[in-house]
Amino acid sequence: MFETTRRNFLKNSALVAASASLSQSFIADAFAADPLKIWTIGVAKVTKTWEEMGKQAGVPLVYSAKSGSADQAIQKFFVGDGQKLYDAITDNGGGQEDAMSDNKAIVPLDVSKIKNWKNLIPAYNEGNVAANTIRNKKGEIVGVPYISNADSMAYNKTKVGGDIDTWDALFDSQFKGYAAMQNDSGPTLTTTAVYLKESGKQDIVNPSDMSKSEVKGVCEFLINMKKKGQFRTFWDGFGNGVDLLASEEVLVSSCWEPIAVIAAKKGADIHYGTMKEGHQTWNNVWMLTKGGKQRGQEDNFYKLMDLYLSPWFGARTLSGLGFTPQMTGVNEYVDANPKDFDAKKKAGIAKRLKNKAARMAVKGNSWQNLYPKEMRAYQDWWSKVQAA
Amino acid sequence: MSLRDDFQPKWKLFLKWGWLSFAVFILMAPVFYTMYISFNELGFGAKYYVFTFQWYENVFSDKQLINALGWTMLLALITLPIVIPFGLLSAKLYKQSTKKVWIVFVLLSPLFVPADILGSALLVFFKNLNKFFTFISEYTGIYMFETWFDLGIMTAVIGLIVYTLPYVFVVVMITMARYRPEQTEAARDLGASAWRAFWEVEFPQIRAGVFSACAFVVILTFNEYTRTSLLKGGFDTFTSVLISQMLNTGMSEESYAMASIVSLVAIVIVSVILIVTAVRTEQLEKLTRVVKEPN
Amino acid sequence: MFISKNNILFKVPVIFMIIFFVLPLSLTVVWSVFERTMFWMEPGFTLFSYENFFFSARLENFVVSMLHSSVSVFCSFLIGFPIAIFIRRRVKKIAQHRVMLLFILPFMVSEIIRIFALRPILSRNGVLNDLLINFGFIDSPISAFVFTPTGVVIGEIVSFLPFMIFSTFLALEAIPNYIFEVCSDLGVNRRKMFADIYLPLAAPGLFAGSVFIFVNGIGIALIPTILGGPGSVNAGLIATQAIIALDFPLAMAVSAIMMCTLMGLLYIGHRLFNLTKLLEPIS
Repeated sequence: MFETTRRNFLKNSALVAASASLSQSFIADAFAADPLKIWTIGVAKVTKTWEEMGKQAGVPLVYSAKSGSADQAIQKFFVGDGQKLYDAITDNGGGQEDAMSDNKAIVPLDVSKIKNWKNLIPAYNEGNVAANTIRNKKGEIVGVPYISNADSMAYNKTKVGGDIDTWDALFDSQFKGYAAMQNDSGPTLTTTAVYLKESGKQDIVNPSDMSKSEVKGVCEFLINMKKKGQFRTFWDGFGNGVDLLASEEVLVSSCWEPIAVIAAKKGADIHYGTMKEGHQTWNNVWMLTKGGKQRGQEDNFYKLMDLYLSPWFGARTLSGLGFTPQMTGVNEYVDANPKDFDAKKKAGIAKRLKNKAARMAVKGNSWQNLYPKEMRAYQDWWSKVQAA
Repeated sequence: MSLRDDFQPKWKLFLKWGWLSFAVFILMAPVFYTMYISFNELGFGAKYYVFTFQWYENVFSDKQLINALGWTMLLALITLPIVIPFGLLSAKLYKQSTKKVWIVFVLLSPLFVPADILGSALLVFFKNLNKFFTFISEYTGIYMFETWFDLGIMTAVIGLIVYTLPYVFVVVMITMARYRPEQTEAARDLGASAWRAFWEVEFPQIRAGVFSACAFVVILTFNEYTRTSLLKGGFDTFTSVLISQMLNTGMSEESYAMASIVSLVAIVIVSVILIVTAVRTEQLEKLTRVVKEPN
Repeated sequence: MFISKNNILFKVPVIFMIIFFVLPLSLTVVWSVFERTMFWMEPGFTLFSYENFFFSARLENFVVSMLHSSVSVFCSFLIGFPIAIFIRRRVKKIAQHRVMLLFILPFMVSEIIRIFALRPILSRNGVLNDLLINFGFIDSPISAFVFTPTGVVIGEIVSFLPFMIFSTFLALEAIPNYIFEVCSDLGVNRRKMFADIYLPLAAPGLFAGSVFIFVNGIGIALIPTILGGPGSVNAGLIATQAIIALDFPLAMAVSAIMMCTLMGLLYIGHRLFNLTKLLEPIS
């Protein structure tokens, strides 16, 4: 009797396994003529839907939402199911692409296959300031930059009663309980370090690559602020950042420019300032995953990159979201297309470019670095800030 | 619903019913608010309210979402035929067993383990199991198990079974409580096999409970996020799409529409169960009355 | 043959749960002493993760989240127990389970949706503050509803209250009706009725409901993430953050600590109240 039931049991479990693997391969087959599966932040899209983006590029796209936090990508690719899920992903340049490339999560690119590569701004040429952010340690190009910015502070002009040009406001008791920062160690620690360094409150050599004791100082400052109740919350993800500002839950917030742009569209009097101490500057790059290459998505990827390096994209991301385009020819494109960019939009673009230039010109700016030498110290101290 | 207490003043009873309905309302308030926002063109946090169906249109034309819906259905469809028999078997085992404590412990304690903890423990378990099987296949040349515990449908389904089995067990136990085992004995005495006795005598009487259990499993599968998102392989489920939209992207008031749709489905299913059981008990009551007082 | 007592088929579900539930959770203890590598872990023995937990702000967070959880348990008891008594005593027997179903309804809507929507309701310019101001209860919005411990407690009550109602109702269902009738015949007053009848007889259910709320309060990461604001961290969130930072031994240590807390509580509860009693009315 035991025999029969055991056989039953084995049969059942084999059946389960078979049906599981069957359905998996069945569904994989159904998508054989695959669209390009992308994992990126919502603000990489400048049209209403991702379908339109795909049409414009001539590549069918399947989109999955990703948060702005760099840790998430590492987790997803080294432990989770990233290679299976996505062909192309975006993340911040500056260390991240090296780690991904070292661990063979992404593959080197053949930029001669990207027609618009010639448009790329000179900052990425070898030897220039941003050159490293798209190359791995061997010097191979592994990333395609599509947006960049100098991150600043958004404030509610009506409620705070004027313009703000210093990070002091974020840490000022005047706005106690009405301030927010991002729940991500990279931007938050760098921004705070820039402020502490330039206002002479702490000696820091390089805000993007601090020593153990410097990290400790910055984090203790934040912990102290947190304990005093300075911050309402640490925002997580784009939508959360917008909601906080739009609903006037917070009045000052260190955040991405599009958060300020969208919150202002919703009716609150939100402005994005230039901070005299400096900002964290960064870019975001597209990368082709190993899985994507294995699935034969290389050509589709290059087609999509053509779109992301075209002034068509640059003009729209600048006008609609406020990111800095990474290609030349944007102004010419805007002038040539008055139907899409009327006088009001053009004025908006001009003003934004002027503000960007002002922000970029501040001496204290610091380029983001996702893999500082004392990475573990960053992680340990950041967990203490989170827990405080 | 009629009340049976005659000693209390009416207004007190109303007050108590009011309190009860108020509690249900408060528990549901976030859901109603989500529905309200889902019709605002400007989304949450905006200063004005402009009515629109736009977000719903977006949801239904979103291919990724439809895809994710398909995957979720598949998960539910694989989980159901495993977990329902599991629930029936364990209820039977519980009734016969003398070591009830252990069965209760194993079957009900998943209810008490927070999702994040169970999810991460299972994730690490499967990862290690995988390494172990890879090791085995390298040394023995038997590659049969090598990919069994790769994150995928199999692992997601296991997570779902561990999660839903306690609910199924309880629902089945509740319905079985009304069944009198003498009926099975009678059937067996008349020469029916155990299976026939179960299928033709007992099952029809607990069918309603089994169906409710099915409904629960489907709803729970649709709502599960933490465990499934940790354990699923290369696919997205309905909630994983929904949550990533809620947490990460800004201009997606679609997520409110999506949330409203799932909530509505759950509300409809539970209401249907409510109404059906209400009607059935009415009928049963009538029947017993007729039997008790023939004319 | 089919219904023989020793038929292994009947044990399949239990065996399944032992392999995929009991085993992984017990193994967390083993994994928690492994050495951390850059992206994973390797066998070894180190108590570093525990040191990391017990000699840092994490311990304080853990204790504080236990405190908040206890408040939620108490509030859920105050709100939920009277509802359970009411349903048991005043609703027609045949309709009782249907009224219970009403409370299952919110349980069936993903708690993520419910918790997420609580934020706009509780925020400074949210629905609740608007209502309170419009009705003239307060002049300026109350900030404390969300991004504070209060927010976490509200979130926990809204998420877990139904469970308190179910488990206490189950326990009350086991009490035969004549006990109530005898009491009211003898003219036992309300307070005595509550203290001597309801409370002790519903104890197993109260305990089960309390443990559920308590453990989930310290274990579900989502509630402090969304409603807690800065400084609100519970065990679940520590584990989640550790996994994101790829510190698996730490995550496993947190899980192991949670498991020990849970098992300890259940064991004590079982010794005191015999939790199997809960299933008696339905077995």
